[in-house]
Amino acid sequence: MGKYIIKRILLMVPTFFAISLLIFVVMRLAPGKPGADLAAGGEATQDAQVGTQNEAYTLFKQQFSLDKPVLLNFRFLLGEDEVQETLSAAIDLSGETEPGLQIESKDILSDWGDFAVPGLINVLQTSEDPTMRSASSKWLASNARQRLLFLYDRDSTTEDRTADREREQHNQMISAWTFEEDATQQSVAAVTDSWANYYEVNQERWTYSTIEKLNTLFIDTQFSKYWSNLLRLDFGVSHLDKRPVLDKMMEKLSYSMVLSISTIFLIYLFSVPLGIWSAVNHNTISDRVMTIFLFILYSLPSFWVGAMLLNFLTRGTPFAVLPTSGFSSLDTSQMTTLAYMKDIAWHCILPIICMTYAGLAALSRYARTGLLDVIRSDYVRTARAKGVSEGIVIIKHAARNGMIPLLTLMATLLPALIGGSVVIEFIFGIPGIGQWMFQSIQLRDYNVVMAVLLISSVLTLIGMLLADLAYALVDPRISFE
Amino acid sequence: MTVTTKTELTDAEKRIDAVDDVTYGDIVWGQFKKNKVAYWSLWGVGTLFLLAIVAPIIASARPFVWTVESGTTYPWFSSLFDRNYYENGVDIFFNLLLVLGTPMFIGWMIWKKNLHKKIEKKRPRRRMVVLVATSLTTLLFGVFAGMLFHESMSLFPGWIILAGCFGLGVKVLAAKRQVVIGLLAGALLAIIFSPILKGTLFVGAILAIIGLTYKSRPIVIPVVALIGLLLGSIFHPVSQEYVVYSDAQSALEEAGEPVESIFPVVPYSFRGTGFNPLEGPTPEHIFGIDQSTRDVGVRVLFGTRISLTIGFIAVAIYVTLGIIIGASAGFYGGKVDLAVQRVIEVVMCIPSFFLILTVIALVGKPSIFMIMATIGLVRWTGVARLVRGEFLRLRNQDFVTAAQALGFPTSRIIFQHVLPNALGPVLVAAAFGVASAILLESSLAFLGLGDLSAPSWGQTLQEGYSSGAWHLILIPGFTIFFTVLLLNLVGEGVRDAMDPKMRK
Amino acid sequence: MADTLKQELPVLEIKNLKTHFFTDIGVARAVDGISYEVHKGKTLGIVGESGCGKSVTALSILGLIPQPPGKIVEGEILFHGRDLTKLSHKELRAVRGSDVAMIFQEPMTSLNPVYTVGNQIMEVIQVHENVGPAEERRRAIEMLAKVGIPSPEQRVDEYPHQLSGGMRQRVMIAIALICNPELLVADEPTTALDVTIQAQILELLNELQEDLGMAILLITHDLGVVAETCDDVVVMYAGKIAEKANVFQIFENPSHPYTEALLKSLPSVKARDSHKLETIPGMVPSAVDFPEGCRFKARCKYATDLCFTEPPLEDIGNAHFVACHHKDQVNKSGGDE
Repeated sequence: MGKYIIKRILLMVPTFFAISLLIFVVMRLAPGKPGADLAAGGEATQDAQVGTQNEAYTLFKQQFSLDKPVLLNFRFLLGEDEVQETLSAAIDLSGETEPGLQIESKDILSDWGDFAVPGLINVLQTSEDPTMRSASSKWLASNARQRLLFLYDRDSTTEDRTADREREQHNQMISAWTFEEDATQQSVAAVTDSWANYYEVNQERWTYSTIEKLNTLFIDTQFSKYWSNLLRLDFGVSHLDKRPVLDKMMEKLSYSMVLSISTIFLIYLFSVPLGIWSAVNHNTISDRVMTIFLFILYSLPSFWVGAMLLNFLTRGTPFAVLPTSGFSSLDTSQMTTLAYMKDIAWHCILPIICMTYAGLAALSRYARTGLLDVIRSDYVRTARAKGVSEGIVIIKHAARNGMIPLLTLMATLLPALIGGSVVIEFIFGIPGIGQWMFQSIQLRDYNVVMAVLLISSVLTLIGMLLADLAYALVDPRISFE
Repeated sequence: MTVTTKTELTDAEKRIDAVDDVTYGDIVWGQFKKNKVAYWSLWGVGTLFLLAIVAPIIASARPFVWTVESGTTYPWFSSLFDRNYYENGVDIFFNLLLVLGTPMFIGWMIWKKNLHKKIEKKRPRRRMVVLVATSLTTLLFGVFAGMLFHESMSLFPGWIILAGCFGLGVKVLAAKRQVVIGLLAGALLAIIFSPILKGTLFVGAILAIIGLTYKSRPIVIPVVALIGLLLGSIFHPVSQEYVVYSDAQSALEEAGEPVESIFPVVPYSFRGTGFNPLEGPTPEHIFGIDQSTRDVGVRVLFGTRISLTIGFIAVAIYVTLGIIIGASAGFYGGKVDLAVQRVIEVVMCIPSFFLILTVIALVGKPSIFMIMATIGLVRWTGVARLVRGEFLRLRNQDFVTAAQALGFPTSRIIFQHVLPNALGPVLVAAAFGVASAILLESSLAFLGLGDLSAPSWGQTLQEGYSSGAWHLILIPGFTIFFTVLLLNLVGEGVRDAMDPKMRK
Repeated sequence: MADTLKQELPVLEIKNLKTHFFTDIGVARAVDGISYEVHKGKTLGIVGESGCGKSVTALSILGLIPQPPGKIVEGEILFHGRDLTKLSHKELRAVRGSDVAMIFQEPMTSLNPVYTVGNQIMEVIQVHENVGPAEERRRAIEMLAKVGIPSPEQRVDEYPHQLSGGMRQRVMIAIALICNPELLVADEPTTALDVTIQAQILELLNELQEDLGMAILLITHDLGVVAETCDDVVVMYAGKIAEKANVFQIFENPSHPYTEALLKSLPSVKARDSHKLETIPGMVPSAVDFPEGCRFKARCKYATDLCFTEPPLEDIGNAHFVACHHKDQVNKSGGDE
């Protein structure tokens, strides 16, 4: 048993890896970029012609590794021609470049960072065009910068800080080595020389060994950066308020879990007896009425029920008996624990009703069919022939076998509830994971969306494992050997 | 003893004959019809489809007939394919069905009355009747089609003649089963007349050829001719000035000019604004007005088109995907199967609503087609698993072994014997899938992530939620519920009908 | 004298039993007026084609007919003179398993897969006696040993899926006999088993019968089984008794055309050269619409117009009952061959 669990958990690792890969690709393929507001804000203050990227935006992208390629990094192969072309598009040399392409080229150039330096040096030294040369000097000053080690939310050590100070000086130094298009010959020559010198001295930064190339290819990417953080259980920080995603997640999860777990509990609490009752009274009028009622319940869209309940039970017409929204009252500091619990319960009644009824209807139907399947089986007849009373026949012999299918459903119930919670939490204003997810997607807070998708997938994986284990517990025919 | 043996044989023969006559589909259908609730729910879904198709006849801001001093025009007809009036491709599609469906229905009636009895060979006079009737309907469609593209009734004589000739010629040739000559004639006709028609009928000719090679039934001719005309109209979309006819009428009447117009029963479009916001039901607007000052009834009516399209197309996408993937896994087995299983596992682990939400929200302003495609691309795993399982199960069944023993190639066994048997559970899953896709689209629209140009039910419900107007919650919500209920009942009926345990 | 009289009283006496099923397509008269007795220490075999109502008879005795569609509409089932059809549910439950026990055709599905063998045997004791868990377990192991299960101490804690088909049927027998019933109803107990195991199980039943002195009602379609184990035989056809006699009478002197045909359809080496194996033409009529008069006439080679009236079940001597208008002819031709 223990061996089996370990095997299953180990098998989860590649699955989880594939899930993260899939989510990563899906999210990066979708149009729209995080921090777009930063980019747009910078556009106006930027020098329209030769200005490099808006600094805040560049920094933002570096901070979240968004300047790196998604899966594979081929930038060590970057050719000089390619750099030259992109540069000319970025400064609109021909005067005919579309604005969209120009912005995109700037984006690409700044994303290339260090890798574009040899190409830019080449342009600086060989280009005939003064505009190109001037632009390349400016891009050099920005692309050759060394990154600071300090990141949000990480504690920095003394070494880090000294290293950062050195890098700061280096960046300061190269930021002076620029010139305008109309600069004098001397200053141009001086800057060009200092760049040539700089390139000579730091040559090894741009010659890549095979190992370095492989390293760059696989490791210097968004995906691997994300994964290396994941291994430390670091889901990054939210783009919005720079708080660690994991902290926020725990906070949000606590709200959602209260809802989902009480929902699951209620679903099983009611659906099993209901299903058994229906199956025992199979084909009687009461069973038919119950079946129809459950079917209608099953077809009711939860967002409609939610909106109706909200409108008619909280907003004044005709009865305003329940609180409108939120997980608890705004001011809970004065409450005793009991009063606080009561307050939460009072707030959660409607959301829990909305989340429960559909699952209840579905599961009761499963329970009913499950029991009907076994109630006519031979071993139930055997039990009757033994003289066992009807109640014990149903509970001991039929129900245990008939309810096995319900266990597998437990695995799918939790993710379905978490997914479904988006609408319910949206309606009732509960600051749980669904609402957070919804807001984060709209604001393109990638780290949050990634984390929520990953965590909910992990919950599903765990749910599946638990369902399989529970299956083995109730059914001796299943063994893990 | 020999006598009894003989009777036994004939008995067996009779049984085999009976089995031959009754297909599996017939059995399931017969079983389904016994379930009254499911049967009537199917009719209910059919009625919803009908409502979706005839929606413009019930509600449109364009009058059927518009007579002013300068002459008479027919704005309703020209509006059907006007991308200025119906912005959404879904509407154009349903209008196409409206225009096509009517002649198709007539053609079907004629065919059913006269042809399926197979008396044509014995009675040449009957055959003539059929021929004339078919040609007449073809002519009628020509007239009808002509009305579509011209505001005035001035018909394009070439079209009528062409449609008639085409129908007649192809019919005669096809009746002799000289399909090749029919094709040549059709192509020739199309080439001759194509300059006049700006190439529209050319498409029709191609479709006619396809139709003919498929099955030479007379219904095919008018239908494909029309498809050609209408496809042509999409390729050459008519864009007209956007006139608000009701305003124009009151303006003209105030100016004292005579106006005669015939409007549909509900003379508003689903985009028409300008009524009192959030007004409850009144005799004029029996379902009230929404927050953006539009008529809720019309929006809900046209929302039927959106919901049904989303439901059926999304399911069609994922069922197709699922069958292809699941069948190849089940068919090839081994490494392919293993890979497919892993992929299915990975996709299934991600809560599908989250995934769909993420994709839709990141896309920003999704179109209906985007929503359908996303649902289709995310939800295929269930069907794939079903098909794979059925394949693996059926592969070891006796009838497959028997077919192998008879020396049939494996691919033939799979596609002729295994796949049809595996489709049963898929049909059940699809029936429930339609309902769930409709729910999904509604909830996306409710969250404000739907196609804003489409009158989705969820969108109206969202307005109700944010404004608290009861009629905006009750009416679209009930519509969603009712549609989903009908579809679920049909799904339940299909499942029961396929369950051998329920058969007696 | 009184003692011997009591001895003569049958353990089970069924009088004019009618069990019908009320379905959508009509009333299925699965058992339509049958009577027979089972005596202490004896085995009564009920023979017939599938669908003739023999299993329904057995289930009727213990009231195990699935009850919305099925119902005992007429007749008495007297167990030691007590009418089982008139008992309340509670009284009937007390009879089941302790006085009358039953074993079923499918040992594979008749045991609950989620409980151990011991658990399922002990359940019977729990229901009918109050002896405490240790004694229950001891008796269960003892019983398992009695039905010939090797190392019963281990087997008692195993689950049904860990046992073979023959073993499971032995467990079923153990469950049935744990409370020393006076009557054992065995509904095709060997049909689903291999031939060698069949023989073992029949042997076991015979031994246990001698041991415990119970009466057995054996339902089977296999005449070989009947010949080997039964004292008396009832031949059923389409819900009615065709012929009823002791086993020698049935095999030596079959007097109903159906019995005759059944016997002739038995393969035998002796008859291999001289005869083709005979089959009975046609099928058992549907229980929903039995024909008027004799129900076998459509398949009977002796059938005449007389057969449109129902033949009564008549004694032709030696407690041999036959329901046929042409029993004399059958006798004759049977004798010829």
